[in-house]
Amino acid sequence: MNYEPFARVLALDVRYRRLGFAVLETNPKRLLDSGVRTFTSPAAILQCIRPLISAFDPSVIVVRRPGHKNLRHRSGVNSNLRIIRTEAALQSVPMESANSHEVKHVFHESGKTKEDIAAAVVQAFPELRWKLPPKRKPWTSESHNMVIFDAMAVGLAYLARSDINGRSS
Amino acid sequence: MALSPLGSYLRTHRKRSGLSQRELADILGLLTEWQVSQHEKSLTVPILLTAMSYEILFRVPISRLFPGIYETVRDNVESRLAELEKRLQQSTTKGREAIRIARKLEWLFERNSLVAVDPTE
Repeated sequence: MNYEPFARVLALDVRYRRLGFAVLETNPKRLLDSGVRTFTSPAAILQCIRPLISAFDPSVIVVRRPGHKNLRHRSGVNSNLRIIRTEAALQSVPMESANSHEVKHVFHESGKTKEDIAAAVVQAFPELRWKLPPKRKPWTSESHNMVIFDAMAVGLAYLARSDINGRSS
Repeated sequence: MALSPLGSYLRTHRKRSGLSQRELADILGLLTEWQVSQHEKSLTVPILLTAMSYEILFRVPISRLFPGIYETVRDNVESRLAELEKRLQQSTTKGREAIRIARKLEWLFERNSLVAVDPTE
């Protein structure tokens, strides 16, 4: 019997001046859209979020709680998240969050690093394979596309959590 | 609140293919990518020939490419059909017209007894 309810999740990985997004649908589980949006000011984040909400009408928005050690960076991300939270409330879309521990716990069998998690995401959604960046060298900066896989991981962690809660209740 | 399917899943299939809106418009013989964008956002409904082109291109039935539109059309047809059935049942005509009405009711019964297959699933 299929217990999985129909849901559409807009998963976001919000950074200081860009965000990765992934729109996932359950029953059957599939990826509807994914990508990266950049913005020049916190207020401009709305121009990224509003079209996504209106196009996909998500049942929930899931974001990753910032765990960055740099306080200045973290406060920047937090202010972005506050804007998104306000917009979600205005559009009556509930907002949930997941932290990196939850994400790592869901993907614990695949490995600990971001690259391992991205590889696990690609295994589940092969259509993202062409967006997977090559393994990062210690002296190179993170690929622009990596934020998509982080958003995917957050979305999948949320779905795994809600799946467990749904089955236990 | 029940979550309904999106009007159009074109964007999902296009992104999966890696095609741009411009390329898709070229393949379909559309004048501009703006039309593809409108179809993806469900702001306009594609004409039958374009809808069939999408089906052929992605090898996905129209009802699954546009499940939201399909559901709306289905609900409208079913409700009008129910109204017709009600009208026919209340009819008191006699003679040849009564035979015609009986045939229509018979067909409606046959149709309703068929197991409806939801192509959007």
